[in-house]
Amino acid sequence: MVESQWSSSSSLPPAKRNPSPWQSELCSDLLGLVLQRLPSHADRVRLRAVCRSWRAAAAAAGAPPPMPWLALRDGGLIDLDGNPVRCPRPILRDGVVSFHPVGGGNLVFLEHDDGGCSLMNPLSAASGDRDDPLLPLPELAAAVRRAVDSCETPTVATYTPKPSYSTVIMSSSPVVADSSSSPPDTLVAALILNRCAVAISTCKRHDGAAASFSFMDERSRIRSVWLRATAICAIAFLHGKLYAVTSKEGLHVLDLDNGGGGEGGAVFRPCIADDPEKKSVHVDVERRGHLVVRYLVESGGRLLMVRWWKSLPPPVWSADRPPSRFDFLEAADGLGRWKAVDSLRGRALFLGKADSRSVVAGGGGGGAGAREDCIYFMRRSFWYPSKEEDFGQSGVYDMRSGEISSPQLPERGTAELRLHCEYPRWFYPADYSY
Amino acid sequence: MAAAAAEATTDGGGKMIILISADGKRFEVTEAVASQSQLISNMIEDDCTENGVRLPNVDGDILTMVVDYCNMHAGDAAAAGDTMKASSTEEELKKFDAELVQALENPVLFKLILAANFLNIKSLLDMTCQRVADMMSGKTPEQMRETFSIENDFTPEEEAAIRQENAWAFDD
Repeated sequence: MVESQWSSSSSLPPAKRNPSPWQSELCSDLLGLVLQRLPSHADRVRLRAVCRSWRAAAAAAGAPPPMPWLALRDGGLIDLDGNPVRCPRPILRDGVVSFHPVGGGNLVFLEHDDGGCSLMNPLSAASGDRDDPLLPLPELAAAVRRAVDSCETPTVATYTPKPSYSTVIMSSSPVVADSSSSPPDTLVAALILNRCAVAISTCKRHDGAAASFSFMDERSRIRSVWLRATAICAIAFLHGKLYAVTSKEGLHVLDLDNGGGGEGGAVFRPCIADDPEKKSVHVDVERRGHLVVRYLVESGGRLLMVRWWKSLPPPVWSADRPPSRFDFLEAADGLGRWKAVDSLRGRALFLGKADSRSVVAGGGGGGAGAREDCIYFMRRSFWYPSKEEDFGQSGVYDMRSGEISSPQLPERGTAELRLHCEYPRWFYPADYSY
Repeated sequence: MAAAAAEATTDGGGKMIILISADGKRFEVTEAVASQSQLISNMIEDDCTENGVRLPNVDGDILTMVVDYCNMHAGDAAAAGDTMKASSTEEELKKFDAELVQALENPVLFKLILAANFLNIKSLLDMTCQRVADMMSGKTPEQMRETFSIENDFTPEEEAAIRQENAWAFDD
């Protein structure tokens, strides 16, 4: 028995069998300290491919993730130093009209010119899905179409021939889960472009395809749900349930089990009532204006609403422009009311039009990762031609000091963005411990 | 209070304590120097350094380096009120640290990390971990294995699956 084990793995010379302390004794605590000082995703991924003990220690270390990347309209990904990320599978391909990074599992959501939609991992070359890397979500596409058709304002349906999505999010990251346990169903939710409806689809992994992250739509659990009268500002998952916040700051939870199966069974149930006083544009007594943009983010088990008070250009007779600022509120008391918060509890937020996210902040010293209690925000429309004009539209807001510092966006690669009036979106690579 | 103050001023740096390495080597250092180790600092507070501090996890040659490091850096903490002195040695310190880190061979670096971790000397732990991160940065798994004398214990199938899952990070 021992003999056969030796002979079966005898490709390595016996002389190398005296293990280095780096291999046998580097515990996860110490490797975690090293990982905090490795700001590059690529270095961390390659480190996990060195040996079993490093892979296990890196997984157990729970080091804060490095900074996310930026996804460009042309399907390219760049890191925050401006270096392009090699995509073994191009994101944009024939028939794909747009894409959304969905966060977690390295997946992107693709919108096809025939109205279909699918998920794809541009960073993998795994054999399980090499032949057909696209994971179609036909039921989600159908639900989106129904939602668009039944919206009371038909404008979007008339001037866009196909469904269009504002935000696409997933309830969990399906590739990380081990196939031996049965993870909870992964949900994909899409907020329709005119922000009146959400389509949601339950996805399941194919059995027996352990290496791939294939999904099957579950026909009976497709939903398209809409809230009348108010627009949905943002959606987020908390503990597997979908929540939506409206422009009147009402919080609603999607109750998938209400009324059993079948179309129309799902309803949004209010947790926090709409406040008719809430507006999108605020003008103070000096006629200085703010546009209020609202985000909903799950953060360490809490549901946070962020208000971004974007200062509007002042009227010509007024010289000073009011500063932009942020408010933070937690859905407190059993998600029954909004309560102001002044700390992210060791986390940082990345705000974006498509997908906002809370991540564990980097520890002190090393410098890799996001800064604690900081909000990295990105403009929601195209970039202005000059960096000066861009200031205040993208940047880093420090909750503790209330100050906004200039955007930490790469100089390299952004000239082209400005040329094409693009705005980038966050892409959060799969890593342990988001 | 007065007695404690008088005691602390002897020999310019306070009371002396003895550190004893795993192989029995003895090092006499001031409390100010030794207190950079949070472990020893706690022992000093608890008054259990009278008969010397035995460090069964740390070899004499490693403890020599740790004591050298702590002697060089004692100024950071002890001369907090003496800004002139602190600023004049800053460049020397940087040079000392850079030379120390550069001179470390792999096995020694590993032992120094373990010692810094055990003794809880944050600045030394930060510096050595940064060195490891620098040694890993930009390397392929093969190069990392070579650098740290690590045996590839993945099966070929496992390794292929790991690389394919994140093919973007590998140049093949």
